[in-house]
Amino acid sequence: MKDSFNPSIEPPKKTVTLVSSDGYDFEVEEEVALESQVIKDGFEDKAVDDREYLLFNVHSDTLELIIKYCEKHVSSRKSISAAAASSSSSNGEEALKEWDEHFISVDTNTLYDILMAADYLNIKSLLDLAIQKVADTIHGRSPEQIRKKFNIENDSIIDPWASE
Amino acid sequence: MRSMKRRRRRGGGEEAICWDKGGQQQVNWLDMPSDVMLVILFKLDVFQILCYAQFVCSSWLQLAKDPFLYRSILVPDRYNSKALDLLCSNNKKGMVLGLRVLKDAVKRSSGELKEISLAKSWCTDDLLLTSVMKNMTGTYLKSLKLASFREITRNQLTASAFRKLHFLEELELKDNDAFILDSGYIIQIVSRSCPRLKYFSFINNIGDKRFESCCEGVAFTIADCMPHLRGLRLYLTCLTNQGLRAIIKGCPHLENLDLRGCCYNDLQEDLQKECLKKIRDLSLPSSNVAPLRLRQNFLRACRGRISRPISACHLARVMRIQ
Repeated sequence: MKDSFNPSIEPPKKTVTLVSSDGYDFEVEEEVALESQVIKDGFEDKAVDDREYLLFNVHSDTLELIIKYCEKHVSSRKSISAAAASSSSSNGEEALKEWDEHFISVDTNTLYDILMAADYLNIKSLLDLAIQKVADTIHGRSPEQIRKKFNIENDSIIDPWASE
Repeated sequence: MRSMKRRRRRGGGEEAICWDKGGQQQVNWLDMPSDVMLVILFKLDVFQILCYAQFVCSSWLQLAKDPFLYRSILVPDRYNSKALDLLCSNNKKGMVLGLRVLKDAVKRSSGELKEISLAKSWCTDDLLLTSVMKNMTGTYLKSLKLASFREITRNQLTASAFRKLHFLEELELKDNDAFILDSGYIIQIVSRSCPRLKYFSFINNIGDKRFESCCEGVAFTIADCMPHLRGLRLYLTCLTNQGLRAIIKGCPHLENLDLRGCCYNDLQEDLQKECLKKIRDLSLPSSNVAPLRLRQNFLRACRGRISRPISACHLARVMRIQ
């Protein structure tokens, strides 16, 4: 999927270890981890050899998706700016949008996990993407359909309009 | 090539990590932090919230009462959802529902309301406008866009509705044939009640020849009553040199003038020069715009702010005319 990355010409990347709630280690490049505002905020204060983050709220399945998203965004941002520098026309942004669309087309449980993780890690673009997806899913559906889709129990609310 | 490795964590520290979440476990959407849920609801429009989403469960109902959700009431001409389109369709039932939703939204906004844009064609009656506005005392509405109102008439109700909008900065009236006839009156009311008004759009795409004389009246009334305008967009079936001259003279602060929709064929050269000198962003009428094309152009332009800086396409148009 990622052919643009060629380790032979680029200098060795600094890495960061992310630990999921179920105890898996994920070693990612520094700039990929820095997509998360939460990691970025405390990043400079941490010692170089202690760049390990325990993500108690993120399951490994979700973390894998999140890392996939961040890697894609870091790499395509690079290729877009490279295309802009060489003033060659590119549809990088369009392609990325399409990729995002495909990425977020998941079942509601996974969407929930992504949304919660993006909120916890404060990855703004991913949070926006997931929120828009939820809103799109709600759009045009009746209360009953929404309950079914999101597995929400009907706790027989009082009609706020009934009193009028 | 992936830089990521995945392996089971070894040694100590496992106790510190919670293991509970199984892959098949059902998530509970109601555990969602309320600020995130609020942003999700914010992405929906008032019809979707008030007719559907708020009835899902009690916690959503509670969230749906947040004034934050009702800062902008934007009703599109048509929804990309059949159910919603049917719900607020152009009949009596849809009208009653529309009225109720808008009133409720204004009430719930509790003074936070900043923007109303109604493009829905069921708004055929000034009853709607006035009953919505009635609840609006004490609001700081900044932007009001009304389209396809066919029966707004010269009556006290309409006038009193506008009189409450002291903080209005942007007003757009579109395709209101009654407005054309009574436009002078409405513009006077607006100019008197809304001292902060800076952007005014008057769009008449109906193109009825009968209104030609009224159109000139519109230009003169604007020139007379709205000296503080920064931006003006006029789409009239007819605008004359005298009308344009009056506007240029009457509104000295004008930075943005859009006349693309006007049928105006004999622009005097000295007047054109004067416009170019005084107005930063000028779009002159071009007779080669077909009416339909024009409508699309307009819709596109509406998405941007009126106060956008001069664009390349404007420049090109101005250059071509020169």
